[in-house]
Amino acid sequence: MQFKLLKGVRILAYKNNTGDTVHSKEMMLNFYRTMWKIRSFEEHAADCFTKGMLAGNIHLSIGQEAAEAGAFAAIGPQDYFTSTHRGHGHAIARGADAKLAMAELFGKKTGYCKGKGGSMHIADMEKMNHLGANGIVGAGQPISAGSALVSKIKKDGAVTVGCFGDGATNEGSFHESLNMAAAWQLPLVWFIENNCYGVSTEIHRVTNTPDLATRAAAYGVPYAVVDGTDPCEVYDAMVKAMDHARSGKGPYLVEAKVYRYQGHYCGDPAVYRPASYLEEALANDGIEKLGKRLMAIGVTEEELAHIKAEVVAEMDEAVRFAEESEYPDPATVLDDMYVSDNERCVAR
Amino acid sequence: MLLSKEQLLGMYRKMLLIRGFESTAAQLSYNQEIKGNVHLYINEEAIAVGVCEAIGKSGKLTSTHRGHGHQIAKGSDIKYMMAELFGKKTGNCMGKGGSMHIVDASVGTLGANGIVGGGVVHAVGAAYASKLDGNAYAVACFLGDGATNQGAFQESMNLAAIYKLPVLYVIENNEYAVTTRTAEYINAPLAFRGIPFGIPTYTVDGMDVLEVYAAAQKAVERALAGDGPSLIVAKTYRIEGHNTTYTMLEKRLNWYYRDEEEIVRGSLRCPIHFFKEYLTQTGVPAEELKAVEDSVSAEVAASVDFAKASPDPEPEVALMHVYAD
Repeated sequence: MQFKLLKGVRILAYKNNTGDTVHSKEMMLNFYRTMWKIRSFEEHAADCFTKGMLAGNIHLSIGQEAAEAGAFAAIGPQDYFTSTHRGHGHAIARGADAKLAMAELFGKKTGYCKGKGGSMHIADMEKMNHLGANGIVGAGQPISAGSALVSKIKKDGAVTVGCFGDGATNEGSFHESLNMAAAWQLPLVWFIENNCYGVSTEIHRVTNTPDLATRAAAYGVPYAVVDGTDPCEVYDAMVKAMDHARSGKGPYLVEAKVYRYQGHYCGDPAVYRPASYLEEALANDGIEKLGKRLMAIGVTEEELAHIKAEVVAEMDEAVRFAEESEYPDPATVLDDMYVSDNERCVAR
Repeated sequence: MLLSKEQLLGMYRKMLLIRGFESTAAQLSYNQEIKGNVHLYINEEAIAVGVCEAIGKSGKLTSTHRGHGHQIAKGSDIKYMMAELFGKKTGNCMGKGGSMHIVDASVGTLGANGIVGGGVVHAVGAAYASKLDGNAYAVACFLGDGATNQGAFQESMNLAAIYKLPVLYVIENNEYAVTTRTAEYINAPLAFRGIPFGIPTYTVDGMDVLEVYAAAQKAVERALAGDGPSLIVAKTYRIEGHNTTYTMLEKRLNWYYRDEEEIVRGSLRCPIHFFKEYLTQTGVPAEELKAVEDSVSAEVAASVDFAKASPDPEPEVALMHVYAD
């Protein structure tokens, strides 16, 4: 059998001689670990929230782990991304330090934004090229297009990935940004996690087409619709999208169909959706499905349990770190509020 | 649906009236008799006339900064609009709106708008009112190619599609957004803009009033049946500058964003000329056409006299009608 390497940044998937993509065991184990990291981080955060240790609201990515793990595996270290109010999963999938992320949720000095951003504003330009989670629905769309324009001008070879949910596709900025990116052929990939609910509104009450990705057709932008509970499928689509954008052919849009296990925010009873939604979601649980697939290719149950235990220990440690960290000094409240210089800013 | 000879002649008259009104307004603007800018609808007459014929008297429309043609096509009396351009008390808005803010509720026009894409949201509101009345009338929402890139357009289309509102989105693609060529800022045909919302789309020759009418007629049928909005993309060409100042600038700067030859080519695709040919070939006698032309000239001249003879508004009324009671 001849193996041809896919052009992904992390070389983990192969094409065999019949053209089918083969995902290595190592890759799937990575997905499995990332997915557990996201779930465990969120479960720990939810636990702290219900105990009253966190102020403010948190929006959980539980149920969307497979899509996030798959998508971020296809994103290279030089690439940029924007996130949403439901952004913990993106940061974790990108390789965020759980301790710093948890400390940020706690509003502690050691957090990613020195405790001044909180759950919805985690950003990190040093290691993650994370242009920021955002409390404004759809706000990442023009930001990601702007970042892609910088890359095009600077020719730095980076692609910007804009992540957002189904509700954000009805923001006018979706169309404005995508049109510009298409007209200027910017290296932009949009990753829509369609969990079927914009807060409490079922997406088809506010959208006329079965798939959201078809919106790209209005601007001549190629798109793909994938099962967001299968990290391998998401990864393959994202590799294709990233290659397309990186080669100068303009933007690409990927829509992953996912489930949001919790309500809109932690503690939302989600009375607005039918019981069948959660039943269907649990029957399609990404972590469970991937675990079964791994066992079918020879990974033992103990190995999987070991991964989970390691992750849980890491998150326990993150909570302990966050709890023990100090609150920021009130005197620093205006620090880092205004940018005097920014290497992503080309207008100066 | 067949059009009677009276309807055809009525459409011809309106097209001529738009051309006559706009040419006169342009001259008055160059002479500084009309203050401020005037955005001319010259060479685009077939679109407004075709669509307004289809939506009928009961229909409503939202307009643009280039809105005189829409008002005339909907049947508004031009003397009040001319007075408005002059800023006179007898104008549609008591002389306080000017060229870009003409409203004539008596014929169902919901307002020209200086904000690009401003009317697209009003159209949804008006169509929602129509729906609550059992789809009593269709709403024509005119917008230019430049306005298609305002997010409000997509938000408006999405709502209209979801609520199955009786709207006709009419994109008047005149190839330029101010001085930017349309092709420079879009990546796919404007007709694709309906795809995300599942809205049926017609691409028509905006220089052929009957083709515009035929598409609009189908769209109106769909709208009144409660099946939702349609999109009409009408291709046309703006032979004038973006507005009268730009026209002067273009000539002075030697056609800085397009060449003169292109404008000449555009003016050869004259919708009035085409329609006159058609009417002649279908057997309308030349005298009848001449009679229409004469009556239009007289009406335009009378409107200027009316406007000039009208008084200015009193300064005290400046804040009147600014806020709704």
